[in-house]
Amino acid sequence: MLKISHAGHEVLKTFAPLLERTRTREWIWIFFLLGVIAWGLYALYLQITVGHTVTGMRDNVVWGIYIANFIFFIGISYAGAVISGFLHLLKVEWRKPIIRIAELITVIATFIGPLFILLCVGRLDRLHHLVLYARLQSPITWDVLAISTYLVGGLIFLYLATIKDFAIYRDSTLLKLSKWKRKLFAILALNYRDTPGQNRRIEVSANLMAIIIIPLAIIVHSVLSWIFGMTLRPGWHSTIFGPYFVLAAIYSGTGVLLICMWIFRKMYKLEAFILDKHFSYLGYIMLVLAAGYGYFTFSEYLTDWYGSEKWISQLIRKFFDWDQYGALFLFTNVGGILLPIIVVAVPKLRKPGYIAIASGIMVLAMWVKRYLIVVPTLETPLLPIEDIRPEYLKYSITWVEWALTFSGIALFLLLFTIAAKFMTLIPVSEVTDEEDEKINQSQHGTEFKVPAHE
Amino acid sequence: MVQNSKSLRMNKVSGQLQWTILVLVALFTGAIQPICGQDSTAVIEEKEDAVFKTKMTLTGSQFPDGSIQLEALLRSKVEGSYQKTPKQKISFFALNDAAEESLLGDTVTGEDGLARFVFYSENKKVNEDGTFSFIARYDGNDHMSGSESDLILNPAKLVMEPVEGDSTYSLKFQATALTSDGPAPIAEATVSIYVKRMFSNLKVAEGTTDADGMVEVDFPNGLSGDQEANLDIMAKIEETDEYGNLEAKMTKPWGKPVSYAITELPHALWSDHPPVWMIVTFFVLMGAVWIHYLIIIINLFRIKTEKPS
Repeated sequence: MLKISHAGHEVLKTFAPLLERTRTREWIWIFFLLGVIAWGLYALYLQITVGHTVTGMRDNVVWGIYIANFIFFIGISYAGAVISGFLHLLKVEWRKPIIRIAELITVIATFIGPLFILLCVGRLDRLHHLVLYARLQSPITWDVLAISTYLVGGLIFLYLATIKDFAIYRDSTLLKLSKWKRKLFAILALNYRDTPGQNRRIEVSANLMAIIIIPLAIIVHSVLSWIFGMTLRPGWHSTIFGPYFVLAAIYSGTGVLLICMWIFRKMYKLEAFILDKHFSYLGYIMLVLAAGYGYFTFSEYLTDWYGSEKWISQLIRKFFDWDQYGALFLFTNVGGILLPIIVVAVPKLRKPGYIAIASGIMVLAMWVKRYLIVVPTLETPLLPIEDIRPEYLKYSITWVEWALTFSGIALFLLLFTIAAKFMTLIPVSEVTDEEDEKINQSQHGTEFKVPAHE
Repeated sequence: MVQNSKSLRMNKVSGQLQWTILVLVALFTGAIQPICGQDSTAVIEEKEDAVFKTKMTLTGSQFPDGSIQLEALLRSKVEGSYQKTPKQKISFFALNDAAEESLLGDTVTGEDGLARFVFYSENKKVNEDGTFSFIARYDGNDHMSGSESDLILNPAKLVMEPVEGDSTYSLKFQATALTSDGPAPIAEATVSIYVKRMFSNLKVAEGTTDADGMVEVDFPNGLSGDQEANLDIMAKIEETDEYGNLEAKMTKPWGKPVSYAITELPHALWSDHPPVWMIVTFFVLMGAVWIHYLIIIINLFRIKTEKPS
């Protein structure tokens, strides 16, 4: 029987109903998500049987909302890499209640992101050619290998952080688990008995993963940016695209983490564990990232504009034209850069609710930004195209693409819901360790406080 | 009255009988079959045996050396639209004043549906009205119907003469119709000048002939030529009713020398092997990550097998 602290007990008690059974409310939620996914599957069926003509993609604009979604989902997967990896290495204590949510975002988003690539590929029957005829000099090959490696890394990292919890669920008398679930937890717990040797191995492995996952995440998003950056097209061929994409990914990942924290705190009454300070600290990280991202954005467009190269100027004009992408471009800069900075910088606005709303707007703006990276460039070809139908030159999203986009979001939420049936969203073992450390500190003269609102 | 009503009833019965017999006869003779529905096999067979309608267009081009090129475009109607029809034999005939045909030769249509036939007009006599008369004929086959097209051409020629200045080039043209009374100038004709490019001909200049059938047109500088700056220049008076196309060709070193030698790009996506540094970097990076994964997985196995002390 593993030792659990008082706080750990509270976490287990809070999440026990989720682990033990599925309530009617949850079933309704799951069926709603399945309904959205079914809508997407119908759209996919149409796309496969009728062809890509049901999408807005044509000869010129060959990438659309699917690629924007792909970059977006891979971007938000950074939540886990940064919060779990970076803060783990720095031994930042306040990370503990939120790491499980961050790691789940990483794994689920990394799983869903590449699905959008599959939707974009016209000949799914030739998908295996990517492996069979892979060319190492192709950025697409780099992407396939980097993302699959990143997904495996994310899964290992999540698993390492959950072994102790699985052992707690296995041994808990508090949880009224079904037989199969307890058996599953016993298998997943790997015979963990809290021995010093086992703890040392988990710690060494977690440290190793934390070290690897950060450069790996940077490589993944750099490689993703190089798919654009290696192409000689206006708006894409940029040397700062690698770091620009990495920063944007960490930024949007932090935003999604803040939104999830706020939703789960409200939904499961987790105010005793996810404190206001968590929002403030993550808010500070978001502010720094917003400033950095704003700097990159300004630098990117300033150099492009100043150079006055013919095709780039044509592209930039579209971003400042109210009839074209002016409104969206303004939204990405105001909602995606200025708003989060203002909300976090002004003490009166630095509240969980406001930070979550600002994060929501920022995440939406970051999605729009990905759209603005992909589509307007393709609508600005280097060779002038004459005698072509307007719909071939101008991309517009069809209902099929919207359906598949929303079903991707629904799948993200569904996988999160399913994951919450197998693990507590706040790690019991981490909360227990945190409390133990505080007790140790109090015994050595440091004041111990019960977690409360700031 | 009774008799009348009886005869009326009799008429009605005999009318019904007549209709019944008619329907039965129709059923037996199969006349009603199209109404009742057809055997599906028969429909397929009919489709397989379907005759595609073909259409031909014949045009001619005359060159200064007296050669005439006849060009027949064969198209067949497939699913409602005419499509270019390759690999079909086309016969070209010349017609005399008595409308008697004499075979000039046969050619086969290419992938573009065009069959071309070139011959020298000096070997042929013009008709009494001073024209040449031709027919191109496609005999058809089991699947495609035959078709033909005729063409009447007045003999004429377009002569092109290069004029080289210090740093400028121009082309002097003379368009002449060859009538029974001797050469006559072709006035008010548009001469278009083209340069051969990789996929098609690029129009570079244009001029209109004067009353003497002459015109001089400046030729642009700086066009990309081959390694020796050669350009294939073509001049055309296009699609006239009387003369067809009048064409002239020449090659002049009036372009800019460009080398098209294929040099292997050091990092092309299609090159046989990626650069060595890329292979090394890739294996070092991926190897480093996956070795760590392996170490962690081994650690997980050890956690499982470790016995509590």
